[in-house]
Parts: sequence; C-alpha cells; structure tokens
Amino acid sequence: MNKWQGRMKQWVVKQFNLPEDVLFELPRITTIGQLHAYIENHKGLVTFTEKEILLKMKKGYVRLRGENFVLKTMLQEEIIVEGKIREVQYLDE
Amino acid sequence: MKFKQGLFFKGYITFYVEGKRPEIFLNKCLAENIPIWDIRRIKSDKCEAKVHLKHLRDVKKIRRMLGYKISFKDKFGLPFILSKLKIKKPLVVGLFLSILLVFILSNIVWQVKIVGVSPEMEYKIEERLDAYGLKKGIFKFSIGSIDDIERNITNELKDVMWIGIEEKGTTYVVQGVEKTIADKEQDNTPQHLVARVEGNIVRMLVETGAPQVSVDQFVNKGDILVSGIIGQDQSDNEDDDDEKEQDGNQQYVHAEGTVIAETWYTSETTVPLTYQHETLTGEQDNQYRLGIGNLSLPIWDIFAPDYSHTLVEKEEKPLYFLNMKLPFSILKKTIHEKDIIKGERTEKKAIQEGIEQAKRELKKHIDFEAKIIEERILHQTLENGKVKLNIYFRVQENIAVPQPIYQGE
Repeated sequence: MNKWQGRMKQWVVKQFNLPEDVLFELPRITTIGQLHAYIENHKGLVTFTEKEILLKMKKGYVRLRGENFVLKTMLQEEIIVEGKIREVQYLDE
Repeated sequence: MKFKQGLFFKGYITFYVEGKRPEIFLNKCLAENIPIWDIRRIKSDKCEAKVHLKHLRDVKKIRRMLGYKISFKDKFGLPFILSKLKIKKPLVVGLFLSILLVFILSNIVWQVKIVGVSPEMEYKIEERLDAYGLKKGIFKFSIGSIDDIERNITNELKDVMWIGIEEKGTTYVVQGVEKTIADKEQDNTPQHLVARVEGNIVRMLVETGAPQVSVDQFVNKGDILVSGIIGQDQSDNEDDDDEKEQDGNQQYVHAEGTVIAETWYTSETTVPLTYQHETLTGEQDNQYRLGIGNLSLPIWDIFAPDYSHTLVEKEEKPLYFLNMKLPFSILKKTIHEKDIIKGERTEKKAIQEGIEQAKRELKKHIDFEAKIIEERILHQTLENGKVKLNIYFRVQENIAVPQPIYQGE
C-alpha cells in the first residue's frame, strides 16, 4: 500500500513537474554562507547544543556542526539556525 | 517571520528552561505550535529562549506536564509597561489630568482689561466686547479675528477714536482713546461763517452774526457769509483785524446759522452693459481642523458643503501651554455660499444705473441733509460695451462752515 502510494507520488511529481520536497516532505536546507541555515520540513529537534544540532527528518536525520549556534526561530515547518556552520550531514537511520 | 512583527506591542518574555535534555521541552513547544525564538544553549541542562506573552500560559502547561524548571530572565514590551503603570495608576491619571487642566486653562481668557477710558466708556466697550465674544471664561480659539473686533467697535462707538486689543497670555488688554469734544469750549470764540463751495444762495437762517450776503446772490468759495463782527463800520473793516480792535463799537461774536445754497457738481461714470457680481447667499459652513506644522487633521465637519461657488475665510488660532505657544493650532474655515449674478442690460437701463451710481458717489461727499434737485446728462457715449456718462447735478445744501476770527494778542 505504502509502496504503491510512493510510486503514485513519484509519477505525479514527474508528470506535473512539482518540486520533490513538497510531496515527499524531504528536508529543504538553505544556507547563507556559513551564517544562517534554513531547514524546512523537519520532524523535530533531537539535540541542540552550541556546537551541534541534530534534526529528525521523515527519513533519517540531518546534523549541523559548527560554533555558537542559536536557534533564531523554531516553528513547526522551519528552523532557522544562526552561528558558524561548518558542516551539514545527512544520517541514515 | 510574521510572528516577530510588532513585538513591542505584543510583548515577550525571555526565560530559562532547566532540566535534563531541554530539547524535549523545545520539541513539545514545536508540537503545540508555540513559536519560540533566540534559543541558546547555556549549559548542558539549561536553555534560554523567548516566547510571546500570549503563549506564556501554554509554556507553563508544558512545564507542568514534563517537569522542567522555568525561570524568567527578562520582560519586554508595551503590556509590561502598562501593567507597571497600572500599579501607579492614580499618579499617572493625576499627572495626565493636571497637564490637561493646565492646557485647558492656558487657552481660556482669564481677564479682559480695559484701560485708558472713563468708567462710562469702559462699560460700553465691555458690552461691545461681550457681543463679539471676547469675555472672561471663553476659549481663546473661539474668538474671531481681533482686527475685526477692533475695527467694528471703533466704528460702532462714536465717542471712541481708537481701540487696540492686545493679547498678553490669558489676559486681553483693551486700550481705548476717547474722542474729546473740544468744540464745546470754543462755542463762544468769535467766528465767521464762510462758503465751503461756490453756489447760489437759496435760503438763509442766521442765528447770530451779521449776514453779508442775501438770497439769490452768487458766492465764491471762501466768501464770508455771516460775519462774526457786529457793530459800526464792520463792512469796511472786515479783513482788517487791527483796526477793529480799536473801535469800541465793534463786537466779536460767534456767528451761527445755516446758509442753504444751490451748488453744482459734475461727475463721470461708466457702466458696462454686461455685468457680473457676486453675492453671498448667507449659507455657510464651519470646518475646524487641528493644525500641526504644515499638516492639518479634521476635527469637525469633514465634508465640504455642496456649494457651486464659495468664498472661503480662514483663521488660525494657536494653542498655548502656559505661556508657550504649542506647535498645534485650531484652524477654522468658514465656507460661504456665493451666487454669481450675470446679466446684460439695455442702454437705457445702463444710463439709469449710471445716474444712481453717480448719486451714491455724490452723497458720500455732500452733507446727508443735502438734497439733489436735478440731475442731467451732459454727455453720453457708448464704446466697448460700456456707457460713459457725464452727469450734472444741482444740489441744495448748507455751505456755511465756521472760520475762527483771530484777534491779535
């Protein structure tokens, strides 16, 4: 059932030329230099320290490493991180 | 970032969350859809965050549920300032009221001082001032134009030569100068009556003095009509003052009387065949605005009246605080309805109008007791749509004017 739904969605995305992140709820990460990172479609905050942020995604996790992290905004749909971003890492489950 | 707008008005709180894994607390906030921001990890078990005042209750609910420790660091925004003020409410209200009171009192007329006139005159002037709305206890900005009041009172009160109104803070100083009638004193000084203009004498009524002319006689300007010197030899010595004094029979009197003579005037007038003049219908509309610098805000009667032609009068009255002029002022705009009357007249009508006009003009120059006996058009031309008239008037008027006799001393 789930598999079939996934295939259906993929077909819709292909046919209608829709951005994938909308339908698949994939993380969309925008960074502005090393200063800011906008992370959309997250599923929750796992770890938050000055040096590391671990965010839960629909599938897997995203880890940000850097310095002086401050969460500028925390909303259900997006998180804005400020600080000095060193790396963005995707982790599988 | 809509939720970060208008923070000052909404108010927000900076708080600390303490406990094991504060992320769980933050996640719970996320799940409850409570926007929080500026989150900082301070210690391994302590976070700083900001939340809207209106979400404080929800945050407290989560704390109770999860068992975290919350402490408040800072408050910001208008709601907190207001609640702080609420504690000192009587003080704030009192301060506000007293400022308002001083402001109102600064704009009231406290005293109208009338100086420089007799008590009787003072009463008359006061009465007039009252009628024009300048009296104690009235708002300054409700007074009309001071220049107008000055002019009107000067015109209305015959015994006053001049009135000046000066504004000194909340006091108005009205200065008056009375006419002193000096003629009474000189009633008995010797004088002749002489002709003011040339003319043909019609009637004479001499009370005192010796008449020098008779009815139907033509006199020139400056001729002596009634002499103030009576007694013998007067006719010989009329112009010679030195000799008169030596003559014991002669007496100097205050010549009085009226000499009605026929006089002539010519005047020239032009009357256009098409005319246009404006009259006020009496309909008017007052608009008040609060002026701040070059801007103005409407206070009363925003809508312009539905007049086709208007005459607008503007008045500006500054507002005061104590003796300081505030940058605010009350602007009063009076809009009068105007009628424009256009029309054409025939040449005959134009001539009539011209005669009337000339008569009105003439009456300004002659005595009000004078009678116009005849008017005759001497010359009349029509050019460029205008009738040009030369009118001749025959008038009966009193031509006698006093001329004092100077006795050499």
